[in-house]
Amino acid sequence: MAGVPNCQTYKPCFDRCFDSRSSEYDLSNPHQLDLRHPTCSSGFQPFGYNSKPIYKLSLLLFVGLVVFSFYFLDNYNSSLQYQARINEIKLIHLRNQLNPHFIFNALNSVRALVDEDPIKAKSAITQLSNILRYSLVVDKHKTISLADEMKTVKDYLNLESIRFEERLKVIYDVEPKTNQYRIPPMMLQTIVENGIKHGISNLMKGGLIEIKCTVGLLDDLYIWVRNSGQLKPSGSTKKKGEGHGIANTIQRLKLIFGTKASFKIFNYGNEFVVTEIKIPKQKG
Amino acid sequence: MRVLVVDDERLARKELISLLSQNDNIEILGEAPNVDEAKEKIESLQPDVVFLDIQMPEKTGFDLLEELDYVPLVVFITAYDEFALQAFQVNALDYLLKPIEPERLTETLKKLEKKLEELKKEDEFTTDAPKDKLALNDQVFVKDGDKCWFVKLANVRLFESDGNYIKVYFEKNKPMIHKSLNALDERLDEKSFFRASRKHIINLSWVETIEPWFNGGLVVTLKGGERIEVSRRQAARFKDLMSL
Repeated sequence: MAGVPNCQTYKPCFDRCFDSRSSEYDLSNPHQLDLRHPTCSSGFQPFGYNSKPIYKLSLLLFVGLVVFSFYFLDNYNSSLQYQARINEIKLIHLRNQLNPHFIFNALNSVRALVDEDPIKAKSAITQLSNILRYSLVVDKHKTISLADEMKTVKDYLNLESIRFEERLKVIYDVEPKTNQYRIPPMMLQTIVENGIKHGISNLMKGGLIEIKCTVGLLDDLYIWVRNSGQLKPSGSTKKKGEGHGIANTIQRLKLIFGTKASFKIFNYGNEFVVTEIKIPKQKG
Repeated sequence: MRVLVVDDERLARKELISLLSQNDNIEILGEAPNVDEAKEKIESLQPDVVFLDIQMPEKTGFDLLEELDYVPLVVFITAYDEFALQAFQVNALDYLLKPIEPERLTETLKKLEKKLEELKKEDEFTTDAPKDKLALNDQVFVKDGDKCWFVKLANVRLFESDGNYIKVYFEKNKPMIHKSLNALDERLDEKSFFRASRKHIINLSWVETIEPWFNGGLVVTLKGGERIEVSRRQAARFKDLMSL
């Protein structure tokens, strides 16, 4: 929740004091000025009205100051709002959509399972529903508990196991105390999906995906994902859209946690790729 | 019709085979989980139609087609891949999306039957080429960057070797395929195609004019405008062929 100020709260107090920005103040003729606010001015008489010039001058100064500060603050306010809005839009954009290739392949497997193993087919439908629901609901949150994300990841990997069968091996090693840490939604899911898409699904014999979540000495959360495959040297990527997942994840972490989070992806020997993420300690 | 199913996922193959077997006149010759096995089976079983998944590990469905000399009719299958489908809108016989709709598959099978009928008729009228040779009615698969074509050999006027590749001249295109001209020469029906020189194979039905050239050689102009030199050694054979 931290990091992106919610500027909506600033606005109403300005609105209350100054009716509308569209009303024109003619500063050369203070007599035209009526500072009485239509909603909160019953009986209010501006002092200095019809009195000595010194009061007129100070009235003029006062009005000028008020008008100036109104515009200055309003400007500042709207630029903050603008920034917040931009961040919001970025977050929405960056939340990775579920890969349609996965959905249709999963549905295709389920069709075949209906004949072969109806019970498994039923649970596959439930798992797919869970994932779809999660991906729809998750847009409303900036962060989500690791436990919630892990549930989706497990459903996802179960479905991919139906599809890849003996070609996909999954290992989990998740410390229970990591459950309540909050992470950007769909972050781990995207990493795992990439591991399948660029790693295991490109290997004729298939491969392995391992997920480890631990709490470090300084109470930071460490997420470690190892998958079969190798990163291609940059520039050799052929398909459009490749590499966007990584850049997006890095940007999201930056928007939410600033410099306190870190993201690394590297080849681990000749057969594996490792993704390592540090999420800072959180209150509560 | 004799059918081969190629997909890396067992369940996907199972599903397609079960859908296919609900239709009449389908003989399922077999299935293959990867490109190498598929290539072997296509060459040994010579299916009429291949149902081919595009996304497969290590080698894709396109890679398979590029490796083949004899290309059967192909129906592409994909879960979701806009780019691949765009490339093929042009002249793929058909494509199916996973999960496959039974009614849609029946439509595809009708199209295939019609196409096979046409090919059969054409075969009766044209040269009685030996079965193991590629004749004018056969097709090759060529891919050039994002674009892909199934090209009927009758439309190919010239094959030109270029390093490890062959340039295939048809219409206004000349994409490259990764093959050797010698290997291709052995597969082509010699009644229709002629090895003009070390570098060129020409389609005899595209020859427009023939002129004498130095050292007893010839120069052939094709209907596409290309001028190809026929070496002295091949000139005599060429004259024989053309006078017949």
